[in-house]
Amino acid sequence: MSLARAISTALLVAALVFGTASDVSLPNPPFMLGGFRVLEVDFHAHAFPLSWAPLSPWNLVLEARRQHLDAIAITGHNHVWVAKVGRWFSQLAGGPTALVGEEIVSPDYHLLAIGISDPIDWRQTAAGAIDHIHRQGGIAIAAHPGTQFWPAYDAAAVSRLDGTEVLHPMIYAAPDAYGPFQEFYRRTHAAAIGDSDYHGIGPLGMCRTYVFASENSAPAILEAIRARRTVVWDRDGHAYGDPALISLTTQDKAFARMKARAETPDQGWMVRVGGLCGILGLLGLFIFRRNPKL
Amino acid sequence: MTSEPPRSPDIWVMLRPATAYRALTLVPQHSSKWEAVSRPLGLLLWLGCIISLIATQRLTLRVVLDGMVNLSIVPLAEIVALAVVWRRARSVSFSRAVDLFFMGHGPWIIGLLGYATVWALVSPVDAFAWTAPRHIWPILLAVLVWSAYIDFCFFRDGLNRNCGAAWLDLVLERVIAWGLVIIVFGGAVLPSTLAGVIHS
Repeated sequence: MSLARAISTALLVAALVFGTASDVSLPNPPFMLGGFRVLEVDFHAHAFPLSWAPLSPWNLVLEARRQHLDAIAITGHNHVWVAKVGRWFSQLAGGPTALVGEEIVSPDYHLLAIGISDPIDWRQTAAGAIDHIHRQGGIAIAAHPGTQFWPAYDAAAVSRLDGTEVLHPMIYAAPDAYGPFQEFYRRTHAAAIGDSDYHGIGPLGMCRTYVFASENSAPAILEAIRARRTVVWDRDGHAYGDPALISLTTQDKAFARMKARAETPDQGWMVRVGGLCGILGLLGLFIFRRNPKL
Repeated sequence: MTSEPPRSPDIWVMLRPATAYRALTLVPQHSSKWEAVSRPLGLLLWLGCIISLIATQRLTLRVVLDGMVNLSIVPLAEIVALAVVWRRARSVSFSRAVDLFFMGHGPWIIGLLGYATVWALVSPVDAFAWTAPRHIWPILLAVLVWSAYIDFCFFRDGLNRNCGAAWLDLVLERVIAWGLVIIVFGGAVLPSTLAGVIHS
C-alpha cells in the first residue's frame, strides 16, 4: 500500500470514528406552553424503498430522534407499508412517535395523508382523496402547493384540507416558491405546516411544525392539527399558525432556545473535522488507487 | 505495452477512456473471483459514505452501513446489466469485464463527492441554495454525457465491439441497470408519473 493510500484510508477511518462518536441522540424532555405539550413534528419524510430515499424506515426514526423531533410521519409515495415498518420500529425503540402516512402523488396534486391505515388511491380528485383520508380517521395536508397544483384544489378540496405546507426546503433552493405557498395557506383555513420533505438530502426536520397537543401520541397530534393548533417559524422570523399560540411562542425564552436548536445545524468541531477527513479520504482512495502492471 | 499509466487506472479511464481501456485489456488476467467483486464492493462502501455525508453531514456507521445495504441495488443492477451485454461479446472473462466496467465511474464519483462536500461543510440553507436545480442540472448533464462516453469506450475498446454495437450495448446496459434502480428506489410513483406524461 502506498503512503498516499495509507493516509487516505487513515483519514476515512478517522472520519468514521469522529462521525460515529458524534452521532448521539437523546429524547426531547417534555416542553409545556399554554397548557399544551409542544411537539416538534416533521409530517413529510420518505424512507427506502420505493420513495426516492436512501435511509431505511428504522434509520429514519433514529435520525428523527437525533434531530430532536418528537414525531415524524413516514409518507411513502402511494403506499403505506414502509411507514408501518417505521412505526413498528419506533414502538420498539421507544420513540419518537412515527405516524403512518402516504404522499398521494397524482399528476394533478401531491397530498399528505397522515394517520391512515390503508393506501389512498391516487386516481381520484383531491377532494375525493381528502374524503377517503377522513373516512380512515386521518388528516389531509397539501404538500408543497405550488401553482401547478392549484387547479386540483377546488373549493371543496380547499374547505376540507386539515393543513397545508407553508414552509418547505424548496424555498431555500428556489425563493420564488415561497410566495405561492404563503398565498395558498392564506386561501385555506388549514393548519400551518412546516415539513422537510426528507429524501435523505440535508437535515431531517430542517423545516418543522410546532404542534400544541395534549400529549405525544398519534391521536393527540391528529386532534391538534384538526383544531389548527400549530405554529411554524421560518428562518427570517416570520410565523404562521394560530395567532394566540404564535404570541405565546414569541414571549417564551425556553421556546426560543428550542427554536434556535432546530435552526442551528449540529456541526460542532468533531462533525466538521470528521466530514473534512471523510471527503479527503474518499478523494484520496479514488486518486491513489494502485496501478496494474502493464 | 510497457509504459505505466499516468495515474490510477480509474483516473486514467476517466480522462483517456479509449487509450486506457485498450491498454488495460492487455493486462494479464488474474481471473479471480476477487477481481469481480473488489471494485463493486469499493463502490458500495463509497456510496454508503456519500449517503451518510449528505443525509447527516458526517460519516456515521449507522448510516454508512444502512446506505450500503440499501444502495447495493446499484452495483447489483449494473452487474446484471453487464452480464446481459457481456454475453453478446465474450472477449474478456466476466470478472475482468466487471472490474474494467467499474473503473468507469469516475465522473459520478467526482460529481457526487462535490455534492456531498457541499452538504457536509456548508449550512443547510446555503447548501439548498448552492445545489438548486438550476446549478445541478448542467453538472448532471455533463456527468451523464461524460459517463456515457466512458462506458461507450469500455464496450468498444474493452469488449472489442464495433461502434454501432458499442452504442447498442450502452443503451441496453442503461435501460436494464437504471430501470432496475428506478423501480427499487422510486417505483411506487411510476404509474402516476406515466399517467401524467400521457395526459400532458
